[in-house]
Amino acid sequence: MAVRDGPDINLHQVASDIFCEFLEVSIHQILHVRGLYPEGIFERKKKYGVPISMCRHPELSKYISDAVNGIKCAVKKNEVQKVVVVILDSERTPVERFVFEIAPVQQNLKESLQSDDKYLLELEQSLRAFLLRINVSDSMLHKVPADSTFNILVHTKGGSAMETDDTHFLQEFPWMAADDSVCSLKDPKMIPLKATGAESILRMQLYVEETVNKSPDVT
Amino acid sequence: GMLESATCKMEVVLTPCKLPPKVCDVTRWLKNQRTN
Repeated sequence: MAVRDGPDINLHQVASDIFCEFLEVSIHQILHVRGLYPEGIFERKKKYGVPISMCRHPELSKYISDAVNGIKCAVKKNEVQKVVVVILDSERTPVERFVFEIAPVQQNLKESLQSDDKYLLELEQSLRAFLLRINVSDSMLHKVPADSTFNILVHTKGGSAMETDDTHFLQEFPWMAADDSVCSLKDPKMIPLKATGAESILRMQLYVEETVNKSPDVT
Repeated sequence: GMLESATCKMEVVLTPCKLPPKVCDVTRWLKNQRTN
Protein backbone atom coordinates (compact mmCIF):
# COMPACT_ATOMS: atom_id res chain seq x y z
CA MET A 1 0.00 0.00 0.00
CA ALA A 2 2.58 2.60 -1.13
CA VAL A 3 1.03 6.04 -1.14
CA ARG A 4 3.77 8.60 -0.54
CA ASP A 5 4.61 10.27 -3.81
CA GLY A 6 5.73 13.72 -2.74
CA PRO A 7 4.93 16.48 -0.30
CA ASP A 8 1.59 17.39 -1.89
CA ILE A 9 -0.25 14.13 -1.40
CA ASN A 10 -3.81 13.94 -2.73
CA LEU A 11 -5.57 12.26 0.15
CA HIS A 12 -8.79 11.77 -1.75
CA GLN A 13 -6.94 10.07 -4.60
CA VAL A 14 -5.17 7.81 -2.11
CA ALA A 15 -8.41 6.86 -0.37
CA SER A 16 -10.12 6.20 -3.73
CA ASP A 17 -7.30 3.95 -4.92
CA ILE A 18 -7.22 2.03 -1.64
CA PHE A 19 -11.00 1.59 -1.62
CA CYS A 20 -11.15 0.34 -5.21
CA GLU A 21 -8.26 -2.08 -4.73
CA PHE A 22 -10.00 -3.44 -1.63
CA LEU A 23 -13.38 -3.54 -3.39
CA GLU A 24 -12.02 -5.66 -6.25
CA VAL A 25 -10.53 -8.20 -3.84
CA SER A 26 -13.76 -8.22 -1.81
CA ILE A 27 -15.95 -8.96 -4.84
CA HIS A 28 -13.81 -11.99 -5.71
CA GLN A 29 -13.98 -13.08 -2.10
CA ILE A 30 -17.78 -12.69 -1.86
CA LEU A 31 -18.30 -14.74 -5.03
CA HIS A 32 -16.11 -17.47 -3.58
CA VAL A 33 -17.51 -17.48 -0.05
CA ARG A 34 -21.12 -17.49 -1.24
CA GLY A 35 -20.44 -20.27 -3.76
CA LEU A 36 -21.86 -18.57 -6.83
CA TYR A 37 -19.30 -20.17 -9.14
CA PRO A 38 -17.47 -23.54 -9.04
CA GLU A 39 -14.69 -23.76 -6.46
CA GLY A 40 -12.21 -24.76 -9.17
CA ILE A 41 -12.15 -21.34 -10.82
CA PHE A 42 -10.62 -19.74 -7.71
CA GLU A 43 -6.99 -19.72 -6.69
CA ARG A 44 -5.52 -18.94 -3.28
CA LYS A 45 -3.57 -15.70 -2.89
CA LYS A 46 -2.71 -13.33 -0.06
CA LYS A 47 -3.80 -9.72 0.40
CA TYR A 48 -3.14 -7.54 3.45
CA GLY A 49 -1.62 -10.71 4.98
CA VAL A 50 -4.93 -12.59 4.69
CA PRO A 51 -5.49 -15.69 2.51
CA ILE A 52 -8.03 -14.84 -0.18
CA SER A 53 -9.55 -16.55 -3.20
CA MET A 54 -9.23 -14.81 -6.56
CA CYS A 55 -11.13 -15.89 -9.63
CA ARG A 56 -8.93 -17.09 -12.53
CA HIS A 57 -11.71 -17.19 -15.15
CA PRO A 58 -10.55 -14.50 -17.63
CA GLU A 59 -13.98 -13.14 -18.54
CA LEU A 60 -15.27 -12.98 -14.96
CA SER A 61 -12.02 -11.39 -13.71
CA LYS A 62 -12.22 -8.79 -16.47
CA TYR A 63 -15.87 -8.11 -15.67
CA ILE A 64 -15.00 -7.38 -12.02
CA SER A 65 -11.97 -5.32 -12.96
CA ASP A 66 -13.93 -3.25 -15.54
CA ALA A 67 -16.74 -2.64 -13.02
CA VAL A 68 -14.28 -1.46 -10.36
CA ASN A 69 -12.54 0.81 -12.88
CA GLY A 70 -15.90 2.41 -13.64
CA ILE A 71 -16.65 2.81 -9.95
CA LYS A 72 -13.25 4.43 -9.43
CA CYS A 73 -14.27 7.29 -11.76
CA ALA A 74 -17.23 8.06 -9.49
CA VAL A 75 -15.35 7.53 -6.20
CA LYS A 76 -12.70 10.04 -7.32
CA LYS A 77 -15.48 12.60 -7.84
CA ASN A 78 -16.69 11.92 -4.29
CA GLU A 79 -20.09 10.92 -5.65
CA VAL A 80 -20.32 7.34 -4.39
CA GLN A 81 -22.30 6.62 -1.26
CA LYS A 82 -22.60 2.85 -1.48
CA VAL A 83 -21.40 -0.02 -3.60
CA VAL A 84 -23.57 -3.10 -3.37
CA VAL A 85 -22.87 -6.65 -4.49
CA VAL A 86 -26.37 -8.05 -4.83
CA ILE A 87 -27.04 -11.77 -5.18
CA LEU A 88 -30.09 -12.69 -7.25
CA ASP A 89 -31.87 -16.02 -7.43
CA SER A 90 -32.75 -17.77 -10.71
CA GLU A 91 -35.79 -15.52 -11.13
CA ARG A 92 -33.58 -12.43 -10.65
CA THR A 93 -35.08 -11.65 -7.27
CA PRO A 94 -32.50 -10.15 -4.88
CA VAL A 95 -31.84 -12.45 -1.92
CA GLU A 96 -28.66 -11.01 -0.44
CA ARG A 97 -26.76 -7.70 -0.51
CA PHE A 98 -23.19 -6.95 0.59
CA VAL A 99 -23.20 -3.20 1.15
CA PHE A 100 -20.00 -1.12 1.20
CA GLU A 101 -20.92 2.32 2.53
CA ILE A 102 -18.27 5.01 2.26
CA ALA A 103 -18.00 8.52 3.70
CA PRO A 104 -16.16 11.50 2.19
CA VAL A 105 -12.47 11.78 3.00
CA GLN A 106 -11.60 13.94 6.00
CA GLN A 107 -9.25 16.61 4.73
CA ASN A 108 -8.09 17.49 8.27
CA LEU A 109 -6.13 14.23 8.35
CA LYS A 110 -4.00 15.37 5.44
CA GLU A 111 -1.09 16.80 7.44
CA SER A 112 -1.03 13.87 9.80
CA LEU A 113 -0.90 11.44 6.91
CA GLN A 114 2.14 13.15 5.46
CA SER A 115 4.04 12.95 8.71
CA ASP A 116 2.82 9.71 10.18
CA ASP A 117 2.34 6.19 8.81
CA LYS A 118 0.01 5.40 11.70
CA TYR A 119 -3.12 6.02 9.63
CA LEU A 120 -2.01 3.75 6.81
CA LEU A 121 -0.99 0.93 9.13
CA GLU A 122 -4.32 1.19 10.93
CA LEU A 123 -6.16 1.18 7.63
CA GLU A 124 -4.31 -1.93 6.45
CA GLN A 125 -5.22 -3.69 9.70
CA SER A 126 -8.79 -2.60 9.23
CA LEU A 127 -8.97 -3.91 5.65
CA ARG A 128 -7.50 -7.19 6.84
CA ALA A 129 -10.34 -7.42 9.37
CA PHE A 130 -12.91 -6.60 6.67
CA LEU A 131 -11.66 -9.50 4.53
CA LEU A 132 -11.68 -11.87 7.49
CA ARG A 133 -15.27 -10.88 8.23
CA ILE A 134 -16.25 -11.56 4.60
CA ASN A 135 -14.53 -14.97 4.94
CA VAL A 136 -16.69 -15.92 7.91
CA SER A 137 -19.91 -14.29 6.69
CA ASP A 138 -20.90 -17.66 5.26
CA SER A 139 -21.56 -18.96 8.76
CA MET A 140 -24.01 -16.12 9.47
CA LEU A 141 -26.06 -16.44 6.30
CA HIS A 142 -28.44 -18.94 4.77
CA LYS A 143 -27.18 -20.79 1.73
CA VAL A 144 -27.81 -18.99 -1.59
CA PRO A 145 -30.35 -20.70 -3.86
CA ALA A 146 -29.09 -22.79 -6.80
CA ASP A 147 -28.42 -20.92 -10.06
CA SER A 148 -27.97 -17.59 -8.30
CA THR A 149 -26.10 -14.80 -10.02
CA PHE A 150 -24.89 -11.34 -8.99
CA ASN A 151 -25.08 -7.68 -9.92
CA ILE A 152 -23.04 -4.68 -8.89
CA LEU A 153 -24.93 -1.54 -7.89
CA VAL A 154 -23.43 1.89 -7.29
CA HIS A 155 -25.45 4.42 -5.30
CA THR A 156 -24.27 7.83 -6.48
CA LYS A 157 -25.14 11.40 -5.61
CA GLY A 158 -25.47 12.43 -9.23
CA GLY A 159 -26.22 10.90 -12.60
CA SER A 160 -22.95 12.17 -14.06
CA ALA A 161 -20.89 10.03 -11.70
CA MET A 162 -19.65 7.60 -14.34
CA GLU A 163 -18.63 10.27 -16.82
CA THR A 164 -14.95 10.23 -17.57
CA ASP A 165 -12.48 11.49 -20.16
CA ASP A 166 -11.94 7.88 -21.17
CA THR A 167 -15.06 7.59 -23.30
CA HIS A 168 -13.66 4.49 -25.01
CA PHE A 169 -13.68 2.70 -21.65
CA LEU A 170 -17.32 3.64 -21.00
CA GLN A 171 -18.29 2.52 -24.49
CA GLU A 172 -16.70 -0.85 -23.77
CA PHE A 173 -18.28 -1.17 -20.33
CA PRO A 174 -21.32 1.12 -20.14
CA TRP A 175 -23.51 1.74 -17.08
CA MET A 176 -27.23 2.38 -16.77
CA ALA A 177 -29.79 3.19 -14.09
CA ALA A 178 -30.59 0.03 -12.15
CA ASP A 179 -34.07 -1.41 -12.16
CA ASP A 180 -35.91 -0.77 -8.89
CA SER A 181 -36.61 -4.50 -8.56
CA VAL A 182 -32.92 -5.29 -7.89
CA CYS A 183 -32.29 -2.38 -5.53
CA SER A 184 -33.97 -3.63 -2.37
CA LEU A 185 -34.74 -6.83 -0.54
CA LYS A 186 -38.05 -8.12 0.70
CA ASP A 187 -38.06 -8.45 4.53
CA PRO A 188 -34.31 -7.84 4.90
CA LYS A 189 -32.34 -8.94 7.93
CA MET A 190 -29.21 -6.83 8.42
CA ILE A 191 -25.93 -8.26 9.72
CA PRO A 192 -23.18 -5.68 10.40
CA LEU A 193 -19.79 -7.03 9.43
CA LYS A 194 -17.19 -4.30 10.04
CA ALA A 195 -16.58 -0.55 10.12
CA THR A 196 -13.37 1.48 10.03
CA GLY A 197 -12.59 3.88 12.88
CA ALA A 198 -13.73 7.51 12.84
CA GLU A 199 -10.09 8.61 12.39
CA SER A 200 -9.47 6.46 9.33
CA ILE A 201 -8.60 8.11 6.00
CA LEU A 202 -11.14 5.74 4.47
CA ARG A 203 -14.31 5.74 6.53
CA MET A 204 -16.33 2.75 5.46
CA GLN A 205 -18.74 0.22 6.82
CA LEU A 206 -19.71 -3.15 5.47
CA TYR A 207 -22.90 -4.97 6.22
CA VAL A 208 -24.84 -7.74 4.62
CA GLU A 209 -28.59 -7.97 4.20
CA GLU A 210 -30.45 -11.14 3.41
CA THR A 211 -34.06 -11.78 2.75
CA VAL A 212 -35.64 -13.83 5.51
CA ASN A 213 -37.34 -16.32 3.20
CA LYS A 214 -34.30 -17.06 1.04
CA SER A 215 -34.05 -20.77 1.76
CA PRO A 216 -35.80 -21.59 5.03
CA ASP A 217 -34.85 -25.25 4.93
CA VAL A 218 -31.10 -24.55 5.16
CA THR A 219 -29.30 -22.82 8.01
CA GLY B 1 -30.58 27.49 -9.23
CA MET B 2 -31.09 25.71 -5.92
CA LEU B 3 -33.65 23.33 -7.35
CA GLU B 4 -31.31 22.36 -10.14
CA SER B 5 -28.41 21.58 -7.81
CA ALA B 6 -30.72 19.65 -5.48
CA THR B 7 -31.87 17.56 -8.43
CA CYS B 8 -28.29 16.91 -9.49
CA LYS B 9 -27.52 15.51 -6.06
CA MET B 10 -30.41 13.08 -6.03
CA GLU B 11 -29.36 9.48 -5.50
CA VAL B 12 -29.02 7.49 -8.69
CA VAL B 13 -28.36 3.76 -8.60
CA LEU B 14 -26.21 2.60 -11.49
CA THR B 15 -25.35 -0.89 -12.68
CA PRO B 16 -23.24 -2.24 -15.56
CA CYS B 17 -25.23 -2.79 -18.77
CA LYS B 18 -23.33 -6.07 -19.24
CA LEU B 19 -24.23 -9.06 -17.12
CA PRO B 20 -21.53 -11.18 -15.50
CA PRO B 21 -20.60 -14.51 -17.15
CA LYS B 22 -23.18 -17.26 -16.61
CA VAL B 23 -22.36 -20.07 -14.20
CA CYS B 24 -22.91 -22.70 -16.95
CA ASP B 25 -20.36 -20.97 -19.23
CA VAL B 26 -17.83 -20.71 -16.41
CA THR B 27 -18.38 -24.38 -15.52
CA ARG B 28 -17.83 -25.36 -19.15
CA TRP B 29 -14.60 -23.34 -19.22
CA LEU B 30 -13.42 -25.14 -16.09
CA LYS B 31 -14.14 -28.57 -17.61
CA ASN B 32 -12.18 -27.60 -20.73
CA GLN B 33 -9.28 -26.45 -18.58
CA ARG B 34 -9.20 -29.82 -16.83
CA THR B 35 -9.33 -31.88 -20.03
CA ASN B 36 -6.61 -29.87 -21.80
